[in-house]
Amino acid sequence: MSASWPARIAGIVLMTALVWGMVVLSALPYRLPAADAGLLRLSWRAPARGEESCRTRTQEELDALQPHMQTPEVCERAVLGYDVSVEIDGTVEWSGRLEGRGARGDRPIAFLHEVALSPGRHEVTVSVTATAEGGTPPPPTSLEVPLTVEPARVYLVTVDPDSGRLRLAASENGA
Amino acid sequence: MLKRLIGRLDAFFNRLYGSKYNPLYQSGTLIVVALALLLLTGIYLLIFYRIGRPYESVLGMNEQVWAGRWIRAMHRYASDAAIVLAIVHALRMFIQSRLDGPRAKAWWSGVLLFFTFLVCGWTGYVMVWDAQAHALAVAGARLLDVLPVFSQSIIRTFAGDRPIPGAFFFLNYFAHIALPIGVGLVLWIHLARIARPVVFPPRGLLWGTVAALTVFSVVTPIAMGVEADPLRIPDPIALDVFYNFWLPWAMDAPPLVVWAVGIAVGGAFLLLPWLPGRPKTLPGPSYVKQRHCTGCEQCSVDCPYDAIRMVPRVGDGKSALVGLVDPALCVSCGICAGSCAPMLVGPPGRTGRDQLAAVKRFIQEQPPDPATVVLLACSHGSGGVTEFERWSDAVVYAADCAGSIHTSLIEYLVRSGFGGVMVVSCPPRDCWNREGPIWLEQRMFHDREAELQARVDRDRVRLVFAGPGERAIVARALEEFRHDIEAGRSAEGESSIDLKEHCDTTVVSAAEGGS
Repeated sequence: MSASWPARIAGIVLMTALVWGMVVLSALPYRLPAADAGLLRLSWRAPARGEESCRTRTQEELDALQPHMQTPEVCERAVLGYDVSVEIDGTVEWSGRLEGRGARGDRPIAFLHEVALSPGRHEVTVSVTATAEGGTPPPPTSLEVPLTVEPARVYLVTVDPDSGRLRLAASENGA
Repeated sequence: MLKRLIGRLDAFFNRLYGSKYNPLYQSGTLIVVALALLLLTGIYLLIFYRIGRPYESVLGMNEQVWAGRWIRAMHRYASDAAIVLAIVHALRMFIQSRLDGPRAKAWWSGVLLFFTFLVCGWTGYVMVWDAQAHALAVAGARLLDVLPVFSQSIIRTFAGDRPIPGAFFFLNYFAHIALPIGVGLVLWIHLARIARPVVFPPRGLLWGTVAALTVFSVVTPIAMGVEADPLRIPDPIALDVFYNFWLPWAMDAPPLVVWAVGIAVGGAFLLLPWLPGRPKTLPGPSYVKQRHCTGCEQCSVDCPYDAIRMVPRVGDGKSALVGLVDPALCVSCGICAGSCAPMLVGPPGRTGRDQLAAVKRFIQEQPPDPATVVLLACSHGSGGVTEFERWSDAVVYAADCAGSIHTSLIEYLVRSGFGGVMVVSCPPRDCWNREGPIWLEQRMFHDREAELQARVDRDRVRLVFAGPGERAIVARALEEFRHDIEAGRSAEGESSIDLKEHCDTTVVSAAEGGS
């Protein structure tokens, strides 16, 4: 069955409308929900710090071992993590312990956490403290900064690779 | 209800475009046109793409490369069209129940193709490295991070505390090129099952589609989004609904939930032919009575699914070769029943001689009358007239598929004294068994084996194409047919219809005796 000319014209109009609809739906404006607020992003990658304590084995200990295992010195290694807490206007929004990755826990610490912030002025404090188990001080230091948050902006707290300190970064015209 | 809806849509589109150019019938071939356009435009765009400067190079395509913005738009719209057409194509196959048995291979390969399109689209959008690309990359990284595969968090790549490594863009670029190769492979699996696959639509529709996409590419080229900035939440982004429909949900939902839903939905689509509620068994596959096979090869030639091959005969017989049906490929369409002159090929109960036996019983119930027309109608289409025993003063005789009708059936009905036989078939591009209407038309009017014998009065035979929603076409054709019959000579029934002159003696005696 072939179509009449009026039907063909109607067909062309319909097809034009359908393709137009497809074109519109191929670039539909969509507002990300997070665009209404600002975002505080904590992200860094830093080497895990280990502590190693070595001692010399006594002769009795050495005698108790197989000949091929009689190394004179024995070392115990502990990888140290650290506690991080994020306070916004004096309220703790997040806290947790960061530890090295991998089976031995000696791989670099990789951290990413995001906190939504309403637009306006906020006091942001990121505290980095040694774990209760003690050990050497953690590599990044704490950060305390006032922040004027604008919608749709991301405020990045990261470790400065040169100084090893926490710093705040943002896109142009940011914080 | 869905079948009725699709029947009406088909009828509407047939009125606008004619059945030959109906884009709903041609959804599969139009996908190939879209893929061809994607390939051509993609090659052009790749020449100008730079992995080290993704956004700048795409911006350069838009602003400096000859016809770059139009080619980009064509690439985008062709990819969207491929998704839309794939959905239409899959819906048709599902609603028409064309996914069971040996057809399941085409179904699962089609579902794989669809998901490959989506992943390929994801990589394509990320290549641009605008705001939408960043959102896609972050959403994808969230999903990948929950897999116990990667040693480091991927999402941190896009946190903004360090530049995005070039390896990411290289991998993405590589995937965007490699995936279409996978599409080609799966497409081959999708089509390998069938004989004589129709790859391209009729020329008018092909060039019409290209023209439409070209016009829209020129009139509404793709605008560049803002460059991806990890430290900015873009507001708003231009979301491609066809590819990135999942993004708004996946950005907030827990990644494991997204995976679970994705796997459940994808798995359900993939395994649809085997899910509860689907037919567990199809009608039995065709068989060939090899003792009577003349080795003419017509059934093997006509089979739309390459399910019949000719093999050397074991023992003595009329020919060196005989037909052999592969049950794993046979969908029981019965097309072979119409192709066998000796009437001994077809699914159980539907061979030519089974059809003749059935029509004899039919004639006992419906005594021939020169004033009555028989509607020999395909039960898949024909405006749904097969629901009735009589329709518009015509006697209805339903066939499983018009392509399976043996022409002896038509001859028998005409010569028994009915006023005429109007065969109603689905439109050629909408045959549930692919090539039924084409072979039927050639058997009736162009001497294709097994042809309608010359002794049959052609004035009392008519072939009409009508889909399930086109009852009006059947009514109009019936009226015209009646008018033509009245204008011609009156029908005369034969008291003893002898088909022996032209048919194999053994076979006819079997047919006369029923089966």
